[in-house]
Amino acid sequence: MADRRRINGPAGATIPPVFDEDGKQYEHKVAKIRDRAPTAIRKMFLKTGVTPSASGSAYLEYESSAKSGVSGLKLSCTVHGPRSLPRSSPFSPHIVLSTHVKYAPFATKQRRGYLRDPSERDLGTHLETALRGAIIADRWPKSGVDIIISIIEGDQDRETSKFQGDETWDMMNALSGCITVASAALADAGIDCVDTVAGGVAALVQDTSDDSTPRIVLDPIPSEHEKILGACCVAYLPIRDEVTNLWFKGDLPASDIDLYTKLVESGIQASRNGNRVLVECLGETVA
Amino acid sequence: MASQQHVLLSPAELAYLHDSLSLTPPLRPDGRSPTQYRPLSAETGILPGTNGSARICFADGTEAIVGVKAEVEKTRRKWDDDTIYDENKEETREEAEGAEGSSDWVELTVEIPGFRDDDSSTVFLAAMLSEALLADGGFVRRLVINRRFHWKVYLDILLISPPLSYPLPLLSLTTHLALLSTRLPRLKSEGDEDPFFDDDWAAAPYLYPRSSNKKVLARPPVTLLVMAVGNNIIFDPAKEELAVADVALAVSVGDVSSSSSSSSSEGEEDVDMTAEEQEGRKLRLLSIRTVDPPSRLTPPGVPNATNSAYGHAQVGEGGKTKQQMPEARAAESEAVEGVWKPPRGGAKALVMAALVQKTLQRGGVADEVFDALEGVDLG
Amino acid sequence: MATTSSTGAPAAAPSLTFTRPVFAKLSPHPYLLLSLSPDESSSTRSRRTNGRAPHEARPIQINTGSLSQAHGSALVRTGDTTVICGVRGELLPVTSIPQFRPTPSYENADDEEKARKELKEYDLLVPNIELATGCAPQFLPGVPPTTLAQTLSTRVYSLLHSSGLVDGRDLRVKYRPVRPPQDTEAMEEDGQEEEEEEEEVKAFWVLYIDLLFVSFDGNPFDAAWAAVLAALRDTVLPAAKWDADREMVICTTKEKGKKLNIRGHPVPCSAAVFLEKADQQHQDKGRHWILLDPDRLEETLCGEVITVVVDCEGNETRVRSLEKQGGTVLGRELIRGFVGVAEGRWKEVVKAMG
Repeated sequence: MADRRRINGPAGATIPPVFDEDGKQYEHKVAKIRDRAPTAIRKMFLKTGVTPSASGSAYLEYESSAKSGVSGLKLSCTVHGPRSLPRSSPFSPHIVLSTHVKYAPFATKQRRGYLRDPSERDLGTHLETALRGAIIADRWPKSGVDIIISIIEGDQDRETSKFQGDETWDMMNALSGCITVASAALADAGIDCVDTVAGGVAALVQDTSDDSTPRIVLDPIPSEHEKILGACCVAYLPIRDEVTNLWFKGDLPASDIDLYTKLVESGIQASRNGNRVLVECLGETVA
Repeated sequence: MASQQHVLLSPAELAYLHDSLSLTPPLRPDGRSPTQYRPLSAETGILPGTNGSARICFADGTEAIVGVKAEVEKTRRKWDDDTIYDENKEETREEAEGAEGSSDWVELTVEIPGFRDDDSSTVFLAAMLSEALLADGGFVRRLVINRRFHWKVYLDILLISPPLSYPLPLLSLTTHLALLSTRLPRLKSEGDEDPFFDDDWAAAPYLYPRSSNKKVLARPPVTLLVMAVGNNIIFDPAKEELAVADVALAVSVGDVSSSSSSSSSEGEEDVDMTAEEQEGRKLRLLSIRTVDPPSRLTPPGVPNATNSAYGHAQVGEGGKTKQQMPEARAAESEAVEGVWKPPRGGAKALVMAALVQKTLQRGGVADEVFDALEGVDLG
Repeated sequence: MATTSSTGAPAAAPSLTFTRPVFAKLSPHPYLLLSLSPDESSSTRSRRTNGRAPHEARPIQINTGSLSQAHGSALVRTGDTTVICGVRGELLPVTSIPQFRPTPSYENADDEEKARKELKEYDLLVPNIELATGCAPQFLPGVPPTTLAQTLSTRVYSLLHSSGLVDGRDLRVKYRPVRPPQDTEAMEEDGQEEEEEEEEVKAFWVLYIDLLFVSFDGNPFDAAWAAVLAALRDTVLPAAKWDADREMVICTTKEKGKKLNIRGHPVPCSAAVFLEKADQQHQDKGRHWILLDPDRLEETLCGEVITVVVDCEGNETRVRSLEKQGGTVLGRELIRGFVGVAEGRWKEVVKAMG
């Protein structure tokens, strides 16, 4: 049923534009070969305090790749709280976290609706797990905090056609960005955390140019690789050397546990790099 | 969240539970060994109106039903395929063999009593189960009928008892059995014409084909719930055990038998063959997710040192609140033996790796679970 | 400012001193009143709590084209109000418009008028405003759109149609059927009339105009409309052709896209009326201030709001829309004067748009 609280447009279904170059040119070719070193992550721009009326807020942008049309991830996060829970809610000895991740309608190739779809809810749950480990929750009994992330622009290549499973890998990158930006916003809101938590993604990729040997790369852009065999997103606390959230997806032989361990280690490495940007940004704000 | 519903245990009970689970060997409340699953009874083919179904009942009273329904659906052509099929039918035949499925051919819904279907925990469970199923693309490849049509599979996963424990292992095992028992009508038409099927149900082939001696060649994935307490690794935790977990992981494992090696990962397959001596099952790690353990939300215990009822009478004197006192601060962060403190921070990567290792290693728990599932009579 | 020294603060007891933010939170009305009416003895001029003069608007900053997934985009910042607008075109084949009536000729003089009707009738412009991004503490997600969000969307929607900003002819995807050879010869002799009938509309572009507030500090309509205007001016729709064989519209990146033809520069200018007494019934008692470009605090304290949309292109001021709600202070003279203020704002905004 159409949402009568919004302007819905024409009754008939509209179709996103279809390009005649789609698929043909790019079908078995990657749009762009990765030119970063396998261990290098993209440049990030992080800024806190973008929403003055919120308790804390932050904006994160990944450098878009050199090629035009490949957009970088852009996220904005606001934190509201800690504030008292509504009277109806039961007693909680800890702060009650609620996370909300939403793509803007214009963030991805397919226009997103205004209601959250399952993948956005899923992202929210991952984010909640990642942050709950970092927050010292028992300092605020009977209170709640809302963490709201708008993904203003997703990490997608505008020009390539939709690949199979592309979206899940994009979700990993989005989650990693969400964790980092939420961590910055939490710090901006002055909510005590055991450490700054940052997200990092590593993937096991197989490229056409050097087939046969899959290699591990940090901070992958899915469209730059022929095939992704597996990827993991890690939320990592550098000072405590602990992982608060681990999400792995792929298809690895179970006999080769080393491969998996290496992948997670690379994810941690990516997260460390992200954390450096985070700490630097927070340091600037304090100074 | 289902994993975080309030556990009605006092800090003292939590501390006791945590300590007994940290012993070597751990002492579990229901007397199981660390790697032992709860006893269960399972049956398949319980719903005649479905293509495949299963019911599992755990000894603790939780029960789940899964129904699989398949419908024929027109494959949305990749629009860049040449529009007129007949023209290049011959050359594209091969392509059809290796046709890629699409993940939206599978629709998976999870229903937990007392939770909305768009509740984040339900969505998380559904995402976890479908993620494992779709991980290698092998499942959707089975759904291709011909170049123009495919099966659309609806998986309805229902927990029919109240969620007494985190239902992930139960739902995963039930889904596994339901998929194993799924049969699709035999195709009678040929090539890319509109498909029509044999109405003889007895002739319908299984979605996961069997060899002549009724052995299942490949199996759907299974998701295991594993947690760590102290130095112990515990599988299939009950609700109370999860309430004191330091970290909990959901590990999805697939089983690719050697006969149906998936074409997608041949490069690696060869490596495996040399490493293993091509016997036993070949497990694949498909996905890992951290499950937010409910232990973080448990109320902390108050050590005697800071409890004004036990001789620490100075607290509150001189207008100082507990929070401002330096010793109280210290007590907030330092662990006192026998006093429950919810875990803070994350888990060491090594601990997580150990959990995964224990699951996947040869003769590990995943192996055992698959062995046990082989024992289930599929009728 | 020392908050309690002045006599004009009835809510603050003389013995207490509050810091500014505390005073603003506790009794916002006297707080604003106090800064607007400084002591006669001192030389300070009347200032708002945000440091602006009553007729001073916040500087506006507009960036366009920063989003690559949308066909047109703009980011507008005025003070602490930040809004992002993304315009995306999607195609609506005429076969999925139930009430579609092909208009036989598109070259007539009243074509423009027809195109305008099409816009409205087929609902080709779809603006939506999302406030529930946590952009201010009162806008949290998880609830249906607030009344404010709904009102704003509707206001943008009606202004889009009433101002005729978008030329409906830009949104048509036309197709000239290829005639069989024997026909063409006969045609050539007949000349023009036939040719006109050849071209038919196969699909329309639907413009989804989505606005996302990143930060909210009052005066949302002005910021939102500026973002819509800038984003539409930035919009380039891909070149689209009807493919008769596949019966669908195919776009190409080989040809250059089509920039939308945006007519005019309507710019809204809003102000709120602040009264000396919070519960003032009659306009004649007590003073009032007209606060241009109100912020969040001021909006909550003012009941009377006016928005004038002007377009001063070609040195001629046209009032495109005029809305006034609540209160009785603004009369004929004041509104006339306010149009002058709006002209000044128009210049600023158009300059920022570049």
